Amino acid sequence: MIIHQPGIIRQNGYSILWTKIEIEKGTGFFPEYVWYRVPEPYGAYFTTQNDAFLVPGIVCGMVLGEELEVRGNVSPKLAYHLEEYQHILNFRFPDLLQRVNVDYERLAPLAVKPKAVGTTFSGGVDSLFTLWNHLPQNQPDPDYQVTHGLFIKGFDILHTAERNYRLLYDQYVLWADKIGLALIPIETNIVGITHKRLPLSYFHGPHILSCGISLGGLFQRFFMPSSWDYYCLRKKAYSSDPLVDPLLSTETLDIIHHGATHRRGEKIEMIADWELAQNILWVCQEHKFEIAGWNCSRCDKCFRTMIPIFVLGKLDKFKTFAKPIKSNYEGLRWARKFSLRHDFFTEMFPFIKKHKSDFLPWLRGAVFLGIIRNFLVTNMPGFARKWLRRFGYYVTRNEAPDAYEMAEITQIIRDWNDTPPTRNT
Amino acid sequence: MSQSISLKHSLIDMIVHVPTLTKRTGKICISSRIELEKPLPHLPETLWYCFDEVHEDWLSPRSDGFAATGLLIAMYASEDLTIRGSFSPKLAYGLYDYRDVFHAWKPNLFKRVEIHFDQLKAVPQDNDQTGVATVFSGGVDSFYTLWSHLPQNQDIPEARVTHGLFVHGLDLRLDDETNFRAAAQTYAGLFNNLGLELILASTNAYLFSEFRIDWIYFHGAPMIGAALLMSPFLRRLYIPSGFPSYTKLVPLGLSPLTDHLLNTETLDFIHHGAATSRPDKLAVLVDWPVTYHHLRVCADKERLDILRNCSSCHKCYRTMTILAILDSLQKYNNFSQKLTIRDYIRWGLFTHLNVRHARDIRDKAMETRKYKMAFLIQVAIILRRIKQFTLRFFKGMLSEEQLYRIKRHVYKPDSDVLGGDV
Repeated sequence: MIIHQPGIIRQNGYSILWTKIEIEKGTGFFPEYVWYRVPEPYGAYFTTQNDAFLVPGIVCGMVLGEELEVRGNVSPKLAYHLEEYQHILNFRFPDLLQRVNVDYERLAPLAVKPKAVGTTFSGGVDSLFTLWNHLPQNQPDPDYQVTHGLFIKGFDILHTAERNYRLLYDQYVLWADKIGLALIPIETNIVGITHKRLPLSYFHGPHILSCGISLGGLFQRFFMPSSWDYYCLRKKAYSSDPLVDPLLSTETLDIIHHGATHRRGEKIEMIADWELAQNILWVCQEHKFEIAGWNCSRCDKCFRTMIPIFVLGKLDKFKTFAKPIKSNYEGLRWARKFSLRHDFFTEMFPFIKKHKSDFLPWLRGAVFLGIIRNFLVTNMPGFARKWLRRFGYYVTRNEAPDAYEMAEITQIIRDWNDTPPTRNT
Repeated sequence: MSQSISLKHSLIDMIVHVPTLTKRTGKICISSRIELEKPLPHLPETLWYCFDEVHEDWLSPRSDGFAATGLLIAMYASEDLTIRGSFSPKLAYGLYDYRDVFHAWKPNLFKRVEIHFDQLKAVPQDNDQTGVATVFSGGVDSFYTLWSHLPQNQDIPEARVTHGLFVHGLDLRLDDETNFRAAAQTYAGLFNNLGLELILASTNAYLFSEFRIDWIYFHGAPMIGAALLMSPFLRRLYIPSGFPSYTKLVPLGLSPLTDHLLNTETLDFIHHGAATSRPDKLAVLVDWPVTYHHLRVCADKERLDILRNCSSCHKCYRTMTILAILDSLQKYNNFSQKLTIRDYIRWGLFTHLNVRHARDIRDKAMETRKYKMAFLIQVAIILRRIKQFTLRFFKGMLSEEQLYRIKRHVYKPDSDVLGGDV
């Protein structure tokens, strides 16, 4: 695999940091170019250092089993740590990811002194918790106060969902302004290099972090909000945790995995009285933006978030849930979408026992029914799944091989390079 | 950046006072008074680190080097921590996570306490921070990390090691000056031959944990503390991993999860070697003549004779069995040259055999078709299990205070050779 020297295109008020990744063995769709795009004031912070493409690129190389040749400059610190990074990923997924050799054309640190402190921001519990903890009133050290948030398009929100992205962004930016946070909309197709090869929910770490690394001229520090706490990490770890994320730091950019010390219930408790969280919290997996409130209030993640807020007695203050729980009985509805994945529900029992013990029997009922449903759903025979797909079940939003592509940007890069389209596109 | 941060103070506070620098007979010592609100018996009043006087320019009397050790003591004593003197903001940030990880690992031993800083001030950055050191004690992990960062094995020039750091008072008792001096002299020569320099240091940090906090949880903080005091010179410190591999990511004082949390603006701590199991490390080292007769792994500090290992403690047995599996025991004449059935029984019954390590070695013996050896290691593991169960049963009947008193009576306590002189 060759990761070519990145280039920057400035056009129509946007800057595009792009490169070409050539693979040898892979079959199926592979992006012709990979890129990040930000609005113009931030384009000045893009650098042609190859770190941002190398981080997700190495995971791609590992899944394809291809040695890497990296052109252009790479941070020596990152290069050193990638050995360890590869070992950990290979150790966790020995059948999926192999260790590969990496050839660097040039090792040189970035010659800038960035000042800003960033975090990825999706509006979910984890990112709100990380942001909350790094506001001036909670973080006395100015060097750790978050100045910028990255709102990524091309990750959990696809490029085709422009309207939804805009809807969220317009609200987020209003509230971000109130707390003095600069929200940067960043678009990318980088997920495309591992799409259909690795499950995104487990391998989101390098992709998200690469967005922060791409703005190497801006960030001296970048927070990665933790999805799993130390209790979960004791059982299983994937591609983003306090062990692996810091290995992607460079000489000028510190990557900090934040929030693994708190359980989801504790995080929710800490942000429950924050007006910003009450107005913009977005956790929904269903992306049904046409309904009132952004969160469908019926999917597993909506329930996992609503229940702790409900037992704290603060759900009425949250304006983004379409159908908030109003009584204990309604907790039973969780069974309809209950998922056993990641074992998140077990932490709820002690939390609910502490705050609203009369809700416990209903929660137990929901979990009991949910487990039965979950068993049936996950063990459904193939032919039945196929039949059910016509009614919208077992269908995911990002099924298309090119789900993360944006033809318009590929064309801009193509024109800039003046090259004809390749067969993959 | 310099600022004062005042947070909510609790009624009970432990204070790490502003460090002071003193000179005494060719040494330069940095010490800090550790003041507990509720003093613990037999705890020294000051925590100190001493270095050879020639390294004076490399030292900085900042509070950074005392923080992690102080924090663990404060968490044990359940007192909030106040750190006086200049303190790195980056380290301050990491220290909160360091606290939370140790508390998550051992909530009864390490209580979650508040941390207050007097003065946050970034470590000054200048061109003199060129040192890339590795912690060195002469053991398997140290030699492996050293080997991995020699120019012939490390392609990235910035990552090549330039110095070793050998700290007295961690694995070797502070009152055992003879063994330390002799080992230091041999290893300094070895480093010299490799074109590197060995930095010698000493500390009384062990005395703060003695019989109270298991050394395996405590040893990392003072080791990193010594390097933090050298912030005007060091930019990177490698910490050889004692883990067999990431499979056994267990709570330990030095861990890939926690070491980097003690980084400062100018000094990076890199936990190295967790990717490689001990048998694999030794498989590399047996082909490196520099290690022949120089491996020092012994845990029995009473019987260790300079570089001559006792050959009857759990660490000696562990290393000897691996060397025997690799058919290389004869290359190391500082170990006994044969392992008998009696040794395996002794290993399981009378030493602190680490079951996880022993299992790794047993599997390696199976791989190399040394079935008799694999069987004997398994016997040692079973004996160890029986002993562990019995000990746990009796320990469960004693209080923490009673256990402390028994340990002080049974084992010989170390002595603070500098005492109140610092």
